[in-house]
Order: sequence, then C-alpha cells, then structure tokens
Amino acid sequence: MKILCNGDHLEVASETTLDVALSDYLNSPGAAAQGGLAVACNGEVVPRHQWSHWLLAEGDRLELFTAVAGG
Amino acid sequence: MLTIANTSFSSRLLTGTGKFSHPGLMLDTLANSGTELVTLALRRLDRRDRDAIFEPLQTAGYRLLPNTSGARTAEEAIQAAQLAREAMGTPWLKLEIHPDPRYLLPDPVETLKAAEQLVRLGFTVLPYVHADPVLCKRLEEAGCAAVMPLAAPIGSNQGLATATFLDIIIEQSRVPVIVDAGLGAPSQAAEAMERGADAVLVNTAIATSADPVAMGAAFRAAVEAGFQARQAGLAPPDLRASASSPLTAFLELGSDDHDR
Repeated sequence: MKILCNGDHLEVASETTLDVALSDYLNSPGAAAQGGLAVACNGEVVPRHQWSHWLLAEGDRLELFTAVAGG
Repeated sequence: MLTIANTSFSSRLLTGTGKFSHPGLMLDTLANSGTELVTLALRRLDRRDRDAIFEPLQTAGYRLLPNTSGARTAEEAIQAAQLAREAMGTPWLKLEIHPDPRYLLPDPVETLKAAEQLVRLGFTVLPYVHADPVLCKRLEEAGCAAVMPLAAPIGSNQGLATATFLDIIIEQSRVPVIVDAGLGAPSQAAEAMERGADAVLVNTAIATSADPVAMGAAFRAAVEAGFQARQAGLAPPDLRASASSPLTAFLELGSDDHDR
C-alpha cells in the first residue's frame, strides 16, 4: 500500500507498523528507538509508546520531526 | 538555587544551542558556561541532513527545553509542543509564538491562549513574551512555571532595552523571571541579575562571538557576579559625593604642619 512520508511516496506491506516504516524510511534499524524524533499521522501526533503497534493504512500521511539546534 | 517547577538548578544561565558553527563547539561552549538547561528547536526531518545534537546533549546530562519556534498561532504552538514532548521526552516547553519574521516579536494574544491550554495538557510552560507586566501576571495566573520577558529583539544584542518594565515584572512576579533575548554582552547579563532577574537566557551573544567557549565562561562569571551583587544588596546611587576616606582630616593635618 502507498503512504506519504514527509512528501516522499513510499510503498509498504499491509499490516506495517509505524516503527517498522520509520526504520525503513530512515534506513536504520534502530531509528524508531532513537530519541529526538516525533511523528504525526494525518495531522495527529502519535505518542512514542504507540509506534510499535500503530498500524498504517493506505494513503496515510506521515510527518516526521526532529530536534535541532535553536535558541 | 534557581527552582523552576520544583526542579533546582545551580546555574542561572540558560543557553540556546543555535547559531554555533559546529556541534562540537556548541558542546564545549555549553560545558564552559556551566549551563544546566538548554533550548532546542524542532524541524521537519530531512533524511540527508540529520542534525545529531539531541543524543550528545542528553548524554551530557543537560535538562532540555524545547521551543515552539516557527509557530505563528496558538494552534500551531500546541501541535509543536506535542511533537516536542514526544521527540525530546520532556513536558518542559519554551512557548514562543512570533508570526513576524522581521522583528520576531512574540504575539501576546496567541501566547496566552496557548499557555492556558498547554498548562491544562500537563506541560511545564515557560513563555517567551514582551516585557509586559500585565501579560506576565496573566501567564503566571494561567499556571506558567516561569516567565521569559525579552530584553530586546531576539539576536539583536541591544541589551536591556526594556529595563523599566523588567523591573516591574521582577517586583510583581511569584514565578521565576528569566530575561530572554537581546542580551549582547556579559555586562548586560550581570545588570539583569543585579536588577533581580532569577536567570537569563543567552544564545546569539555567545554563539556568534569570536570565541564562543571563552564567551560562555564570561557570561557564566557575569551571571554569578550579578546574582551575588543582588543578594549583597546594592548601595544606592547618590547625586552628591560622599568621601570614602578621611581625606579632609589628613589635609587639615598637612596644613597644620605647613603653618608650623
């Protein structure tokens, strides 16, 4: 199924959980466990503890955010 | 000790992490500044340009204060706050809403609206605001953990342009007052502390100086000196001179000698 991640079109298997999709997208197996990352799915912030069982659906729109330097 | 939301800090210097030429320099500077509470921002992730500063800051033991920079409305700030809480694992938040990119002045209406909602959502809210005593009081009543009035526009290095109003805020506030934005020199940070600020937040003046590591130490010393001076109780200014030495008696003795 197709999802949109920070504007990139991705093809993922059905029943894919959010943490798996994140690790694939970031090309890093532990990506989801790393700090400094937040995700909104269709505009709704997904709490970190739900990432491992959050099932993605066709057409989902993910927005990823990261901690950066700032004042 | 500085206490914000039941958390104590030895250092009264908060620092931003922006504008450093590289992360290593930022970390060395923070270490030298003695800061314990540092601000971070949130940005849409770019896979090709991942800013690896979160892990080192967390490993170094700093308490993190995510900001909502980029938010132009209360609604956007609340969304940013929820993302920041997930990304950085803390409910602490520097609430900043400045829709105008030219002067980056905080929107008081949206800030108060967002603060009220964020407190209800369980955030520890430290709002960045203009040096408006009425607004600071309203934010305190809304349950904010501190107020962060500006000295001058962000990054302008103009110093205590709002001094008169900061004095009123400091006099009235029952939550810590952190003078944020516009402090350009350690002497200005010292003056803010002498006037009774509980802490200051500095970023640009340190990060864009010729030697940030040394400037971090200079601000540390200035904040400590200003705080100590406030505790000691400054002697009041006076128009007239007041001799510190028994000068007159000495001259009289001298003239007596001369007469003899």
